[in-house]
Order: sequence, then structure tokens, then C-alpha cells
Amino acid sequence: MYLKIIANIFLICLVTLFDIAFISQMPYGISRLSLLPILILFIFLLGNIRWAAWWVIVGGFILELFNFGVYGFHFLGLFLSLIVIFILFERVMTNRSLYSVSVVGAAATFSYDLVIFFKSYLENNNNSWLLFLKFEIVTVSYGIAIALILFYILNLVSRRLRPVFLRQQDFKI
Amino acid sequence: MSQKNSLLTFGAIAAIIIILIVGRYLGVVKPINEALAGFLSPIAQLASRAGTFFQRDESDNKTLSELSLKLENLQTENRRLLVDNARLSVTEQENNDLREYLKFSNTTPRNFALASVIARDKSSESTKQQTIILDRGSKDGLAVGMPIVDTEGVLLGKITSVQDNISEGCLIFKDSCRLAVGLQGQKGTIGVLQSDLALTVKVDFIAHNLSLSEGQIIVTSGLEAGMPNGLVLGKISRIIKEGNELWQHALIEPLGNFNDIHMVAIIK
Repeated sequence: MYLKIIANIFLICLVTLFDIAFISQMPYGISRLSLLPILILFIFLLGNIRWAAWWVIVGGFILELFNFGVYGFHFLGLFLSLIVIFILFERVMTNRSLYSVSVVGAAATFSYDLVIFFKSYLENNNNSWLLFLKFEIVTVSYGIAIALILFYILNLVSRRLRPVFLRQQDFKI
Repeated sequence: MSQKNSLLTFGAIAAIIIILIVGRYLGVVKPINEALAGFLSPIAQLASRAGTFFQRDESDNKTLSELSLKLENLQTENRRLLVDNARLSVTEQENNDLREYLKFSNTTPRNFALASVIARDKSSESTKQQTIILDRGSKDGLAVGMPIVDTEGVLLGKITSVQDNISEGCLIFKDSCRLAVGLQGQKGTIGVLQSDLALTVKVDFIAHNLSLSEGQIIVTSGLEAGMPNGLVLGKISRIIKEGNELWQHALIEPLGNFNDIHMVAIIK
């Protein structure tokens, strides 16, 4: 039990550091992408909300370690992403298909980035909403692309996700 | 999982987040943060170095004719700089001889601290990076306001925030990263260098009657605490001088290598 928790925390730390250090060095476009909201989406789909909650808290804590601005916005961004993911999958989406994962992935990325933009807006006081929306289109597109790649990869190892097109055998009673 | 359990989970997350935020502002979690940041920064440094392999040079987008024109310009500039260098070497030798006669002490050599970039700002609304996180902090003697230079000694930005083991620096493309600057070879401050739409940089508040020319080198004037004078920033690419304005402005072509920042030096 404890070993599992420690292994999970270690994994979250590594993934978050990869997000902070590796992705931010990528060429423009990908460098703005935040992996955590997308990963929280898949953790929610493959696991449960409690497992996703671990990712919000530990991931947010590591992100805040390397943040020099107002403390707490990364926590709030990831928390908001999880709320959006939960509401969309439990109340709006009827299945866990490629299309619903794309939509929810885009919504989770956007909600996280919106909170981080708000932080940046408070700190710099002159950030432009129009510029944010312009760059956000690129970021959300990359977010959807990553979600689709992960969807296909995870579809091979889990039966919790649905393929793009429903197969005839899925309807056999 | 039932609706009630989900609500309980959300409540627990919110409570933990509030405790962590309050703990941070009360200074309770600060020692844990500092220790963890110090422990994790070498791993972040490794990931960051791996990420730099994917960075593209801006020259990749240029056509062959543009590159050959650039090469020609660089060759011309190189010849001019060789002449300047020869002239300055003679001047330096004369200066040393005169100092010897006057028994002048040598100027104190600058101390450097090398630092690796472990992360960059993701929220910048520009294709240019504006903030970097370094793997050195106050334990290594870093302080707010110290200049960040590249391998050639060209100024890239300055330290804006310091923790025990890591620090944050702003690059000159960031709006709030402003510097008092002057002209190379001349004393005093001529204006304030600041970002122009986060894409390039300009010098504002230059007196209308000051004579400027394109190609002149802009250096720091040393007006701010911790910022030495004479650090090269860039050269004037365009002068904007309206007849009825109180000030003139100069657009600057930064000379720092902003495409490949993974190791920087901080002048103490």
C-alpha cells in the first residue's frame, strides 16, 4: 500500500519535472503545452477520481516549487481541470470515445491555461486577452494531438476506452 | 463512485490546497520547498538539457539568398571589428602603461557564477521566451538585480527572484525587465531599455537633442544596484524621431544568443 503510494508520488514528480524542464525547452508551440491536465484526464478515465486527486496535489506542489510568482495558481488550475473533466464525463458525455476525450482534453487544457494566464495577468498587469486566445488555439491543438496519441496507445492496454468507430461485436447481446 | 464520494474527494483536495497555500504564506512549508527544489533541480537540469536538442535555430527558416546576404554583412562587420580590435588593443596597452606610471590599481575582476537553465516560462504571450529558472540560488551568492550574460558576455537579462537553491531571471523581451542603458564608449545613461511588444527591444526616453546613428552599440549604464556598466546588449537598428515628441526612441537588435540558452553566467 505505502510502496504503491511512494511509487505513484515518484512517478508524478518525474512527469511533472518532464513537463517543467523538457517541454518548456521545445520549439515554440509545443513549449507552451502543459501535460498535466491531459494526464489527469487519462488517470481519471483509467483509474478513479481519487487517483486523479493525487496527481492534482503532488503535480501542483512540484509545479509550485519552480514557480516564483503568486503561490497557489498551479494548484487551482489543476483543480479546475479536474472539476471540468469530472463534470464533462459524468454529466455531459455519454461515452469515453476518441471524440469525447478530444473535447474534454481541450476543455481541461484551456481551463488550466486560463488560470495560469490570470496569474500572469495579475503579475504583469498588461497581458492581452486577445494574444492569449491566439496562442491558446495552438496550445489546445497540441493538447488534443497528445490526447489522441495517448488514447490510441492506452486503447491497446485498457478496455475502458472506446475506439473511434463502434464495432459490430460491441452490440452483441 | 457515488456522487457523495466524489464531492468528498473534491472537498479533500480543496482543503489540502488551502492548507498548503496558507502554510506557504506562513513560511511553514518553505524549508520543505527549498530542500525539494534543491533535490529535484539536478533532475530538471537533465530533462532541460535533453529538451534543448529539439530547439531550432531561427536561421533554419531563411532562404539561401538571405543567408548569403547575411554572410556578406557579417564578413564586412568582421573586417570592421578587426580594425577596431587592433585599435583598442593599442589603446589598452597605452592605458596599462599610463596606469603603471600613475601607480593605479587594476580594476577588480568580475566574479561569475555559472548556472544551467532548468525551466522556462510557459505562459508568455510571445514566441520569445521571457523568463528562465536557474539551478543556482542565494546559497551560491546570487541576488536580485544581478546581470545574466551568455557565453560571449552579452547581457540576456537579470535576476528577478532568488530562493536558496534556484532563482528566476527575466530576459530583456519581458515587459517588466527594464534596464538603464548608454552608448558604448560614452559615459552616462541615455534612456531605458524595454521590450517592444515582447518581440524585440527598444530604448525609450532618449533626449530629443541627442545624436544617434544606426549600428551604435548599446550597453548597460550601471545605474541600477548590482548591474555593472559596459555590458553589451545590442546595436541600434532604427531611430524613431518625431518632430513634435519630447523623446526619441531607438529599436535595438539584441546581440545575445537567445535561441540556445541552456547555460548562462551571472555576474556577481
